[in-house]
Amino acid sequence: MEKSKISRRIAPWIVLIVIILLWQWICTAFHVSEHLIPKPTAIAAALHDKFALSIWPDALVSIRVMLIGYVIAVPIGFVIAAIASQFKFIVRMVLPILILLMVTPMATLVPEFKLFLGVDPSLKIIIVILQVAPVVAVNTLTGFTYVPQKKLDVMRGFGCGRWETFFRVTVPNAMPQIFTGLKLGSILCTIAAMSADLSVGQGGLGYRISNSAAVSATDTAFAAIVVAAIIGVLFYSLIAIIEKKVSVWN
Amino acid sequence: MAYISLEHVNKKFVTRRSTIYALKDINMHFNKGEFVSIVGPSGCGKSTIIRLIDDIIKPSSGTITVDGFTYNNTRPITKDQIRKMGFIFQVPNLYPWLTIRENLELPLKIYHEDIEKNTPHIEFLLDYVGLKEYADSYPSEISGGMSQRIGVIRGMVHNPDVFMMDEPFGALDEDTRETLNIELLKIWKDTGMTIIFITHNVEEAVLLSQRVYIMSSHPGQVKTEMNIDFGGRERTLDLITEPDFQQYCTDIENLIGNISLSEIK
Repeated sequence: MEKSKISRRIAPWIVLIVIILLWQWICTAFHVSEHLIPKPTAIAAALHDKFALSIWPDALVSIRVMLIGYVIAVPIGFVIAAIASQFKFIVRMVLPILILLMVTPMATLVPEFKLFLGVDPSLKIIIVILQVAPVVAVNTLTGFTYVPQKKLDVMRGFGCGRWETFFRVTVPNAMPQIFTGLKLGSILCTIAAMSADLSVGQGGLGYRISNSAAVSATDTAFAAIVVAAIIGVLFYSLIAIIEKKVSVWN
Repeated sequence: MAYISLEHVNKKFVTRRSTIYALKDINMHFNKGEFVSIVGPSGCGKSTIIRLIDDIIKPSSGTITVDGFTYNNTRPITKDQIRKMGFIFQVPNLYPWLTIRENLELPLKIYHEDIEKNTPHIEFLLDYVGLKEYADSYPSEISGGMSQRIGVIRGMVHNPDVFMMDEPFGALDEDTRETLNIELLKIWKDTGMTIIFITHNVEEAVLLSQRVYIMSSHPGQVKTEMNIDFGGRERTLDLITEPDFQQYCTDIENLIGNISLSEIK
């Protein structure tokens, strides 16, 4: 039992190490140009050399955009879902629009936003909000809409009104779907922030990636990608840990 | 005067395709401290009756009076009135995200009552049904019979005058059901509550109640009512084998049976 648990934990890391070794070996054996695909060792070296100087400051810019955007987007998503869920006709009205917004890559709208805002620093945050709020709203709304009638009847039996029932039953009942929305939101948040960097510029990891690639510093670009991926994974894990803490009953 | 009465209550459910007349001209009364069962074939609307009384659904017409307060489809019942009633569902409907104790505290929170002051009461009820050590467990960690016991005492924490029970033990196995029926009789005797008990199990109805309403279906109507009297004998499982107990059961079953037969014709 203990043994299988350990091997399950280790297995993914072994796969990762094998991929990295294979990558290193292919790059060396076939003399792949460093400017096309850098070796893992070169990426590690670039990460070491450039981390303090450029990658970490840019990462901070991205993290700031992600967190501010996420913290604003989540309540917006909740409020949209909460109001919509109480009125069936609103659900039918807003759901298609929310889904449309959810699948639209918001970074593609940057040129349009620039017409109105210029290169405003908050532009990236707006992109993140537009990308994250709909996915939080759609998932939360699903959770809010499908509450078993029996669970609602108990509250009616106690004489509870619409909103008391909402906060006492509908919200906790929707926790799994709410966290699905929060987790998807954290993924889209990372993607949106990076792609906003790409199209807006003004620092950030996405900007560092495209800038490094443009001057053939592919190793730095890859190092920045690794950091971006780690930030995304950590953000997602953080939400997943919070979910475990909150949903102790499962 | 009766504690609860229904006068000319009708209930129809309107769907897109059709209108279903669930209850037609229901007149019933329940005296304070009385144990009354409502039996009838499935679909006769017996559950609908207590759902109407507890304001889970609204009547299409007619009036309901509880403790002198009259309500109908235009005049709503108040939370103060609903507070006098406890509703026990067919399945316990405990909230999985709350511990057993938190589930029991929920009605108190809803009625803005002091939780701390009521803690001994909750402890007493948990002890009463022998589940004290499970207070901090989650509903997913206890069995179906235990859950239904908790479901029953959840209906009691706010000290209601009336217990409305919608086939409360129907989903449980025979043994657990018998045990809980005896426990329910004990609760009834100890508290002096008014109990309205919905069941399709005729033996259960005869064992527990002082009076039985027998209903027919399509649309749901009161066919007749019957007083159940065992003299001074105590209501225990031993009673089931007595001839007068059997006679009551046969009589009620015949009434229900006749109803279904006449419907087929």
